Amino acid sequence: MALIIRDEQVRSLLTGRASTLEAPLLKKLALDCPEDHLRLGDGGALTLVRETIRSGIRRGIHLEADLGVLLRLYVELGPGLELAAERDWANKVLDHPKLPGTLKVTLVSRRLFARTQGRRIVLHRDEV
Amino acid sequence: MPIQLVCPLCGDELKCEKAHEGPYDVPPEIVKCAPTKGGLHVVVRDNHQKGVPGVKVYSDGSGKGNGDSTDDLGFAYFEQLPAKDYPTRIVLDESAKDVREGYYTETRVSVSAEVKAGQITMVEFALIKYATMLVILERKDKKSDLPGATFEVTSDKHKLAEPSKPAQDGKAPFEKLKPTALYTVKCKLDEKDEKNFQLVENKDVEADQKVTSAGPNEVVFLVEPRFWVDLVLQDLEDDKVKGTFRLKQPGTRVEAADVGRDVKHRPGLESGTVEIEGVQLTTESREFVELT
Repeated sequence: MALIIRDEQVRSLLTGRASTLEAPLLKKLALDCPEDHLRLGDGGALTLVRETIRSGIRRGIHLEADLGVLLRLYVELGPGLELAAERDWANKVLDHPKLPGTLKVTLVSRRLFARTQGRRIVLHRDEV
Repeated sequence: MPIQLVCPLCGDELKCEKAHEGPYDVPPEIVKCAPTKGGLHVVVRDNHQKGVPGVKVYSDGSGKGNGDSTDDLGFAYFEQLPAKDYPTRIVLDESAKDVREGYYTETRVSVSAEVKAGQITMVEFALIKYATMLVILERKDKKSDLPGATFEVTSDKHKLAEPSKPAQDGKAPFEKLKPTALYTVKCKLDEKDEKNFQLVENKDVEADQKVTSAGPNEVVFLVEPRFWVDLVLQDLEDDKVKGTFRLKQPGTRVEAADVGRDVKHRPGLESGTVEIEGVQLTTESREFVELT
């Protein structure tokens, strides 16, 4: 007897799993990016983590480790990767329908972080 | 030839500390150095949030005295800069031809950007892409025979280099228009064709036309043919007779008054046959009762 798991069921399973991913990702955010965690506050950090999980699942990125990389990308380069020069390329890779999630985040993070070399990008704001 | 490796953060040369002749090997240990320098990334985007390549960027004190140009993604990079303020600007006149001719700016083109050690300061500049408007003259009845016409495009906020253009095959493109301005578009038929054609009244096509860089920005004027007759009432003896023609067309009756020896142009008729129902002579001409 064949067991068929349809897309809706996979999504349902992943949605249930999303809540279990929140705590470890919050912990990772506090550990890896303490200044950002402080800046965001508990509420803001939780919102960002939830948004990352939602975005990750939508893009086929399900593993905790991969979501951790995605979270770091969003923290450093913005939730739309708007601070990255190659954001169009990066979003295209992340949205790719067939590439495995791990490969996506590895490709994107390597390429985008090669430019910043661990330095944070700060947007210049004009004094009013 | 040995490759010189430098730290991407501080710019210092990386040296192998192993007991062999080098530098042929990269130390496997990751040694964190205290960053003393920062980076300045300049991005130039257009009004569609697309990076603009070929824009000349200067950052005084960055070591690139001749400036830099933005790459295909609209970025220019100034790296390994000591922490301080860097006056940074873009110069359109020195940019690539596509940029010079295709974009303009209405926001700031220079800033003083603070670079901090261990950080990348990103400075954004915004350009606006010029738009093109295509003004078109079409016949309401969709026929291809068009009258000659001249289009005029004007704006309070933008003076065009060539505001008036004759229609070529019923069309004229107006380039380098600003999406931030409103334009008034007018169409004037050539004098020689005014007798045979008239513009269909449509105020909407004239005032406050907006344009977008993405286009197409088409403004269409409609024209329709005029139908007319030329009338003459000629007295063979002294040319003094005058009168009013009663004209009949299917479903309508019109008059042409004060017709005499000179040609009287009577426009405003419908396409098709026109029947002269009769002529009413003026009072002074009552004695002429017989028309030939």
